[in-house]
Order: sequence, then C-alpha cells, then structure tokens
Amino acid sequence: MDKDLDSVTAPAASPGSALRPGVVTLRCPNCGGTVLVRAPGKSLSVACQSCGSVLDLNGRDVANIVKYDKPRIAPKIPIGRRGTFRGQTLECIGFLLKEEDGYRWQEYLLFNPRIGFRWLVCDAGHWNFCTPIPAAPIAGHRAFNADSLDFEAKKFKRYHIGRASVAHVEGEFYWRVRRNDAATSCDFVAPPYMVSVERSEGEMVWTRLEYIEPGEIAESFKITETIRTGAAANQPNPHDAHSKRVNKIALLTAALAVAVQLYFVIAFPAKQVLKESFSSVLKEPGPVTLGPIEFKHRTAAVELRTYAPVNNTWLDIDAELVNTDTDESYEFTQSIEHYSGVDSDGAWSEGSTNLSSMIASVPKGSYVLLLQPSSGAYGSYGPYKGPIDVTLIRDAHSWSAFLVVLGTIALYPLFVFVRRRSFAKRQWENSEYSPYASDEED
Amino acid sequence: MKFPFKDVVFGTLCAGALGFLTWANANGYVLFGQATKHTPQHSNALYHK
Repeated sequence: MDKDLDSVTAPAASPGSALRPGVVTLRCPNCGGTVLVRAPGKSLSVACQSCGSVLDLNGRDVANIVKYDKPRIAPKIPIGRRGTFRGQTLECIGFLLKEEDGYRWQEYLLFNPRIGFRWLVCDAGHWNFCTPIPAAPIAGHRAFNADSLDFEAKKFKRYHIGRASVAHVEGEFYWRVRRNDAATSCDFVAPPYMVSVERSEGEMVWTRLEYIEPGEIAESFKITETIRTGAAANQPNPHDAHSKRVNKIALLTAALAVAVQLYFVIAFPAKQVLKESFSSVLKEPGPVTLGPIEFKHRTAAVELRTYAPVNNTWLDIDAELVNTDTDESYEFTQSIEHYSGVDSDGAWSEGSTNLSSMIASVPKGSYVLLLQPSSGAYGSYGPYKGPIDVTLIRDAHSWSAFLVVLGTIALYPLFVFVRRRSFAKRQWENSEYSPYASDEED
Repeated sequence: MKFPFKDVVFGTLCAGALGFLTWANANGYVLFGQATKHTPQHSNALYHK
C-alpha cells in the first residue's frame, strides 16, 4: 500500500520520547509497522524496522521496493544511536550487511545535518571511518588496473579487487538500495588509511577509510567494544613504533661501541716488544728462553705470532710467559701444521705456517718467554728441522668482545623485526597482491 | 602512553654491553683467549724444569 508522505507528520515530543525534531514517521505498506525517517528529504529509501522491507521514499509516495520476511540481524550500532566521534555528533541511520564470496562485514551509515553522510565499516571487529573523496585520485578507467596510487602525499598499494553485494538492509539510505545490489570495488592501502573505489551502474565512488581502534568506536557510540580477529588491511602495525625505538637504541649503542673500540685501538696502539728467530733443533735440552721483556703502563692483552715453514709435518710449541717478579705464568700450546701435494684434481694444500695466540689481561711487569718446540715424522716426511720466528706484541687488540657485543645488541631488534614482518604478512594474507607471496611460495 | 618497559630493559642491556666492552678493552680481556694463567703455587711447566 502506497502512502502519501505529505499526510505523515512528526508526533508531538513527549518527556522521555526517543523521537527528535526532524524525524518523521510513516506506516510500512507491508506490515503496517511504524517506520522512522531520520533524514527526511535526504534519504531515498528506508528499511522497515519491523519486517525489513525496503521502502522507496519517492517524493510524495512511499513505494515498496522489496518485501522481506527475513529475520533481522542485530547491528552493533543500533539504528538511531547518536554518538560524538572526534568532535562531531553523528547519528546511525542505516545498516548494511555486505557479502563477498561468503564473507560478510557490516557498514553503518551515519548522518549529521552539517557535514552530511559518513560511513563506519566493521569487518571482523576492525573499524574504519569513511569519508567521501570528491575528486578522484586517478582516472576511473585506470583505477582497476593501477598497482598503486598517490593520495594525500602517501603511496597506496593495491590490496583487493572484488564484487560485493548487499545481504541485508536496515534503516535509511541516500540511494535506492536493494538486497543483492552489487558493486565492484578496488581497495588501496597505506596504513592506517585506505582508498576504495566502487563502481556500479556506470558510477564511480571514491572513499577514504581511516582505521579506528575499537575502543574509540565503543566510547563514541556507547557500544560493547568489538574483539578483533586477524589483521586488517590498513591496521597500523602495532610493532612499528616499538621497532623504531629499539632500532634507534641499537644503532646508538653500536655507534658508541665502535667509538669505544676505536678509542682503545688509537690511544693504546699495539707495540712489538720482541722479535726473535731460533732453530727447532735445540742444542741443549730445555726450553728456549727469550727476554727479559718489559710490559709497561697497564694490564693489556699480549699476542704471540709464530712462523715456521713446515711442510707435510707438524710442529708443537709449548709456551709459557712468566712474570719474573711474581712468578705468575701464562701457559699455552701452539700447533703449526701444513700439508701439500698433488692428486688427480691438481695441487692441494691445507693448514698454515703461521699461528697467532692471544693472552688476556697480562699485568705490567718484567717477563720472560719460554718456548719448547717438538716435532714428529709424518708419513715419509721426518720431523721439522728449521727456523722458528716469534714476534711478541703488547697491547694487542682483540675484536672478539666487540663482535660479541654487536651480535648481542642486534638480537632483540632482529626479534622485533621478525614480529613486525609477521604482522605485515598476516595483513596481506587475504590479498591477491601480497608483496610477501614469494616468501610463501618458497 | 604506557611506560616503555621493554625499551628500558633493552636500553639497560645495551648500556651493560657497552660497559663490558669498555672494561674488556681497558683490561686487555680477550674472549676465547688461549692461555691458562697459573699462580706460583700451581705453576708446573717450563719455567721450573
């Protein structure tokens, strides 16, 4: 039954009445229930709150667009609920349940007489606030072929192209919405923003979406905070800020570590304090005694470099650095091996004729270096009988502590990076344009 | 903004690492150094042969 809109008037406001000035009522031609129109003159269709039938508010006549007998789905923001969102009062006047390939999400039409219409989209507990973009960022025919677009000084990457349809309607809308109405859309993301273009019946509509935390929506519209599942396409990476801070701390520490290491290398340069050569064949039994050697100024590392041109044999040297004042000693063994030959693959060699040993934290004082060489036969080759060159270096610098420090301070930033990347990969797992697709193929 | 507990812990760890590096360089400490230090009571090698 058609209804003349002119014969419908707003009821008188009564204390506690939910009706506000500007709201008009009419009767649903399908079920006879009361239908509220919250944006009269702007809304072109309204869904009956009782039976769900979508009614056409066509000037003076109200025509039944679609008759429904389906049960209603409770929207998270009730129709008629007002909220203050970022300083603007917005009333929820419409609710759409959209569907694509069996996947559903909710869209809420908000209205403010001064600023007009806005949307809130709720998808798996994630919220986006939508504002229309009056001027298309790129030409419409290019939108669905572009890999990216530039908007508001940001680069948006293409995320998804799909065709969604209306599964359920409640409230009122500024176009004649019907169930199963479909539109093709293309989404571009640059978290926390998204740009979406929708094409239907030759018309292109551009929308800017901004990711909103569920808590902010709950507070604005006095609803239960939604629980999020998964990662939304334009959801800010929760690890971004922490990653930046951690990287700054790590880089500063690394720079200071380099400065500390270079300071000691430059301020306390390595000094050669002994260079001697002797034969591996000792004239007398007992160790070769070299020194005395004076270590001045401070406790420091000492390096013993030994060279012996062994070939196809081995040479062991038992070494002892002894403090002649305190009798404290530092003992170690050097093993020099070098082998070479020719086989079916050509010439080969292994081992080395040089060896270096580091002795840590040697205090200042007077020292002697005792060396006891020994060698043996190897195959057809006899023991080594040749010169042994030794060089003792004071204030030798080891980079092992420096490298361990760098490795240690890199561990946590690496962990945070992995978490950040893991979140980003989850964000893109529903996109057919994921930059991480090659990772998954591997 | 909630207290950046993890940043403070990591910063403390970095400060400790720098302190270790400074101490290691000041005292000639070598990671994976090869010598065994003996006090006079336990010295048993070449010098006393």
